[in-house]
Formats: sequence, structure tokens, C-alpha cells
Amino acid sequence: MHNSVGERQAQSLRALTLRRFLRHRAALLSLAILALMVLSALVAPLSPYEPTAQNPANDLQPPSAIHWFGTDDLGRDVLTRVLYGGRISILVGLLATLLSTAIGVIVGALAGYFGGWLDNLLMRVTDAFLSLPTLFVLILISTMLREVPALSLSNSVAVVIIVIAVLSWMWPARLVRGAFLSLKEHEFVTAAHAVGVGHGRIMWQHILPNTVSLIIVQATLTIAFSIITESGLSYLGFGIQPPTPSWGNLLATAQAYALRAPWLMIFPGLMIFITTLAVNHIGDGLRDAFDPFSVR
Amino acid sequence: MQAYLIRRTLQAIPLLLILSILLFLLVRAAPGGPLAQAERNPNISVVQLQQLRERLGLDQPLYVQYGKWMRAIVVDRDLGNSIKSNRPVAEMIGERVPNTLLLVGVAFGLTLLIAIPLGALSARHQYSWFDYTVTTLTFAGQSVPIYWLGLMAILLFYVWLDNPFSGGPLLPVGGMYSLGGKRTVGDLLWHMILPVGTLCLAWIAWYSRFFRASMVEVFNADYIRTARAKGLAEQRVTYVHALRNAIMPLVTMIALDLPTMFAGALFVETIFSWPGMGRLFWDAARGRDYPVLLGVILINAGLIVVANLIADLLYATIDPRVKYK
Repeated sequence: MHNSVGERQAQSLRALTLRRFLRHRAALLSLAILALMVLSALVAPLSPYEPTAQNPANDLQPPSAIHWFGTDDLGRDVLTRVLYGGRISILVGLLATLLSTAIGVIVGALAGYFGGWLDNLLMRVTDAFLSLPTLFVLILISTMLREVPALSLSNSVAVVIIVIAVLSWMWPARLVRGAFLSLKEHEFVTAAHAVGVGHGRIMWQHILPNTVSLIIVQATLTIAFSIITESGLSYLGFGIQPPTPSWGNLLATAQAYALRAPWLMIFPGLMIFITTLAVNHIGDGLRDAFDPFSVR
Repeated sequence: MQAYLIRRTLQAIPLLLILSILLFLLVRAAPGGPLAQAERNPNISVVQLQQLRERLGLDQPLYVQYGKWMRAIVVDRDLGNSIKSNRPVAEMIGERVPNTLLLVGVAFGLTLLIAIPLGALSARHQYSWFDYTVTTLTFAGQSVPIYWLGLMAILLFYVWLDNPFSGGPLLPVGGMYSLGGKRTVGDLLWHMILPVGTLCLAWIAWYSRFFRASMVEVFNADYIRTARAKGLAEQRVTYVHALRNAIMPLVTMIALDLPTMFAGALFVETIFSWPGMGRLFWDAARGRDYPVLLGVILINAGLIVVANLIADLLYATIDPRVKYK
């Protein structure tokens, strides 16, 4: 017997989720755009120019066939710097999200699973972190860390990743805590307890897999947050330090040349905008795809 | 009810305590603390360094330092002195607060005035072309970094567009008043257009989207069906029954969103040289003026805690469905 309802039920959840995601056109397009962004960052060394090679005789050239995005105040090719900047910005976005999600999942799982005083303590700390004026603290910490001689300036990428993660783990933590709170009451957890499975195994192997979809959707939001935050921090001068290019610090020098070389302000910002928009669309598509009640 | 209000207020105390410990540790125990600059200065001897440490009380146990620090803040309202100008930090912040409040207040008022009707109309005509346009634009708006929005505003209104009468730039992009000019209200408003506009554009995207979602949820509620069933005009259902209920979650949203708003103000004040708290913070960070940095963070964190408390209390008072247990 072949009827459409039967076929749909026969599909595995994974196949169904994938099919729903593939139907989300904006998300698919965004995935393609993001892939293109990552690819272009990867092939940056193919550019005929060096990202830090200065050529003062050739400064502030408008976009042309030789320099597609023009040149900056030191005669460097802007397209090359934007591509290399993308490497840093995307890397920071991904690694900061990984770290932030890891911290958030551990804190949220412990709080939600064990409850009681531990939950109370962890959630008060989470609340405290949520009450911090994030950007201000980011600036303060990165200023302080850069005063430590042991961490040289070349480590500013690591500094930025850690600092962003330390100030963004609270959202996944709250989410995972909520999921653990309700999941730990389910029969499969009681059954696992009954046959003598340990707490650690129940948390990480029984409950956690059920929260993966939530965590992934939250992670897309964190990626967007991290990319915008890194570029903002670098724009203000407290993130990635020149001459290493990032989309944010490319904008920082651009403002001084607003009158003479307006193109300097356009391209790096456009890259941040397009990347963030793509990531947000993908998150939207994943949210719909994971939703068991979605009609798509 | 009263018990709830008191209990909720008391809950803010451990939060403030944890927060203050966090901030204290950040400054005293973290690397690159108050003596980092002095330690690296070859002209300062070990003996002088020790004297400096004693003078600042850094040789005492951490909890004693914390106690003194808290006492100074709570009892004496003393946030220390600036390293650069040697002026009291509290005074420096006090001068800047009105400017930030003016900027953020006007921008936020305008945001609500635009975002609420936008979200309401969008929700009422769900899946219409209007809704589709608003949803697409606000989704894009949420992905634009606010500093780039500010830079693009400069590009458009300062670099590209000219004032047809004077031939100069169309709009000013720096400060609160024209240099050397009279400090009139008109001049102030003129200087506010771009910074306020930048903040508004960024915030409207978030708030109209949030309000649309809030309205859509309310439209599914039983009391809306009842209102429609008893034959009320759709206008009345939307703008009286639904709107009032949809606004309530906004109260919590605003309080939770305060850190983002402060961040927006920091960017906009920096880009447009607006002499507010954010600009003060940025200048202080570039000069590594730690007492000023910490003072601004303390004030902002305190404001966020208090705003969240007020939002919760307000919510409990205006929404009779909240259970006070």
C-alpha cells in the first residue's frame, strides 16, 4: 500500500529534518553564500597581493580592474585584506561559539540535572553574567589581557575568542538547563536509573542527544553574535590588532578616510552583514526543520 | 502580592553580591591589574612599587580589599579617581550621564513609537505583502552591525549628500553642538538626527519583530476569539484587546535588552563623538584608565539589575495572571 501519509511516517526523523531544511529556500541560499564566503577565505593566498605588503605610492586607489575593492591608506589591496580578514572573523566566530556552547552545555546540564543548591548557585552566576554590560566588560578584559607581557599581541585572536565565549555561554546554559529539567522526568531516564546507569552516562549519553537540535539552533545565534561582536570590538580597537586584518579593524581605519576613500568603509561591513544574515537564515531554517510540528 | 514584591527585591541582593565579587576579582586578581603599568616602568624601583602597593591597600588580604572597596562605593559613593585626570570617577560619569540619557531616551522613545505599530500591523495582516516586507527588512536589520549602520549614515548624509543652501555636508556627524556656535536647542536637535537615527534603525528591527511575535501569540488566545465571537470590530480587537496584552512581554524584553542598548550607545557615541558615558568609556579604555572603566561598568551593571527588578515588579502589578509564589 502506498499512500503519502504512510510514506511520510516511514521516513526517519533525520531524513524528515533534512527534507524540511532543503525546502527552506532562504536557508539553502544562505548556506550556499556562506560556503562561498568560507571558500573565498580559504583561497585568499591565491590573490596576487600580500595582505600586509605596503605600497605607499599606490595609496587610496578607488576600485578598479587591478584592485577590485581599491587600496587603503598604506597602498594595500583591500580585497586581499578582506579575504584574509574573513579567515580571522569566521574562525573567531566558529571557535568562540564552540567554546561558549561547551561551557553553556556543561553548566546547563549540571544545573538542570542535579537541581538543588548546585542549580541555584549556577543560575545565580548565570544571572550575574547576564547583568553585565557585555561590550564594556569585553573591552575591559581585552585591554587588561593585552597588558600581560606573556600574552603577546599575536595572541589577540585567542584573547578575543576566549573573551567572547566567557560572555556568551549564558544563553546556551539557560536553554540546556531548561531542556534537562524536563527531560530528566521522562521514563527513559527513570529506566536508566533502574538498571544502574551512572549519572554521568545518563547526562551525556541519554539526555544530551535529545537536546542537540536546540543546541545547534542556539549555536547559529551565537555564531552571528560572535562575528558581530568580534568585528565591533576590533572596530573600536580592542579586538584583533593590525596589521592582522579582520573585518572589524578594516572598518576602524576606514572612518578616517570617509571623505577621500569611502569604498574602504563599504566592503568589510558588507561582508559582516552578508555573513551574519546568512547565518541567521540558516538558523531560521534549522529551527523550522527541527520543529516536529512544522508543516513544511 | 506584597510578599512577592519583597521576596523578589531580596533576590536582587545575592545577584548584586555575586556581580560585585565578579567585578572586584576582575580588577584586582586578573593579570594586568592596577599595578601592571607601574611594574613595567623601569623608573619605578622595587621599594617604590611596594610603597605604591601599600598605599593602594593591595598588600592586604583580598576579602579586606573587597570590603573596603564595597564600603567606599555604597557608603561614600566613591568610585576612586581617574589615573589620567586624577578627578573623581563618580563626578566624571555624572557629567556624561545626562547626554547618554538624552540620546538613548529619545532614540528608544522613537523606536517604540515606530516598532509597536509596525509589529501590530504586521501581525494583524499576517502573511500579507506588508508583513512579508516588514519581516524581511527586520530580519536584515537584525544582521547589520550597528557601527556599520553608523558609518553608512556618515557616508550618505555627510560625504555624499550636500546641503542645497550652504553647499556643505547635509548633516553634522560629530559632537552635540556646532563648534564655536551658540548652544541652541535647534542645533542640538540637528546634531541628534544621525546618532538617534542610527540607534532607531537598529532597535526598530529587534522590537518590531519581537512585538509581531508577541501579537501573533496573543491573537491565538481564547479571549481574542471570545472578543471576536461577541461581534467586536476587528479594529477594537486588535488595538484594544490584543495590543494591551502584547505590550506586557515588552516590559521584560526591554530590561533584558539593556546591555545591548548600552553597547549600541557606546558604538554610536564613539562614531559620532557624542560626549556620553560610552564615549567616556572608550576614551578611558584607550588610555587604560582602569578606575573610570570599572566605574562605568559598575554603574551600568547596577542599572541593569535594577531595571530587571523593576520590570519583574511592574509585570507582577500589571498582569494579574502572574502567580506570586
